[in-house]
Amino acid sequence: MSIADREQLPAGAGAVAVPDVEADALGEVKARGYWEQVWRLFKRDKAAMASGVFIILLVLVATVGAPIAANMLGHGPNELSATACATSSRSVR
Amino acid sequence: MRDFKPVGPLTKVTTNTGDKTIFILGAADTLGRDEFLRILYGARVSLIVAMIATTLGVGLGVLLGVIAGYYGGWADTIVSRLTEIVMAFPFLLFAVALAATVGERLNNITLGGLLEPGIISVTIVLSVFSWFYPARIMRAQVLSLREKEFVEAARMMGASNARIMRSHLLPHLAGPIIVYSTLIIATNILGEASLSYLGLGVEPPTASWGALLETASHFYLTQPWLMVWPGLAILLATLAFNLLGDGLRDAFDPRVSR
Repeated sequence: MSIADREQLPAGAGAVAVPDVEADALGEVKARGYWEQVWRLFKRDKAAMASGVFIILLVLVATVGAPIAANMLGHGPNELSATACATSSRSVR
Repeated sequence: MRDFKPVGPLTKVTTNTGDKTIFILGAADTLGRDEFLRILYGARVSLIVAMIATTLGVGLGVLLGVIAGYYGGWADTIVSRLTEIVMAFPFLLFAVALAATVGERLNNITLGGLLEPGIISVTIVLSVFSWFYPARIMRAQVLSLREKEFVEAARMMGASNARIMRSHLLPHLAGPIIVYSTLIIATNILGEASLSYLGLGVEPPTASWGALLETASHFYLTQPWLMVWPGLAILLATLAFNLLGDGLRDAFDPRVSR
């Protein structure tokens, strides 16, 4: 079956979103590899996907972001500044 | 009695070199270091420590687990007893002992500026205590895999033991290895933060989330938000790695979740 054959389906069949499985059954059946299957299942998990994106962002922040921020602010993370302390009347232990 | 306290968020300050600058989240301590930058650089330290410790730990665990499961006999006995000894070994005692004895010398190692100073000893502690779970899991997996027909077929074709382990067993272990690495990274981020909080982990002046939390606890009356930022960072990073690990486990082994 080719794409041309698929277009001669009864009217309305194309209007609804055809699920993956049906589309594959209509066209040439292609075997999914193991890693493809894993990725397909992983994509469904919204929380895991969001976590993955967050972790990538975290890695970017740690590698590229931190030096850029230090550059923009004009001081480093270990730089001391005497004016960055205020005296408080309350005793803190 | 008058005490010093770090300045609050969005304060304009002058650094000792005379530059005018702004502290977005305020100062981290009474020495006037920038909290915002230390959180960012702390992320780098936390991730480096957790990832190196996990790579070393999981690598050792997979190696020992596969050897124990594949060869059985005395190799299995040695690895299994070693696993039990390390599992029973007190984690904190080891951390204290290492920090008190060779910790300072180890912490000077930076591999030519590649690593921040002060992170080697905590990396060693965490990797020593993160190999036994993967080792046990891999051993159990290999015990069932080595009886399968494809292993027998490979052996009949004349494949050596090393080749069977590398080319026929390891691909089957890729899923569990990835899943457990992700979960162990989360544990190690938390472990690094806890050890640094106790003063046994990353040494100042290197920034670390646990050490920031510890400093913040001195100013809980005047600057309570100093605790919020490193705490939030640790929480989100650990949560993200745990959720990712759970998602990966479901993806690799769909039967478990259904």
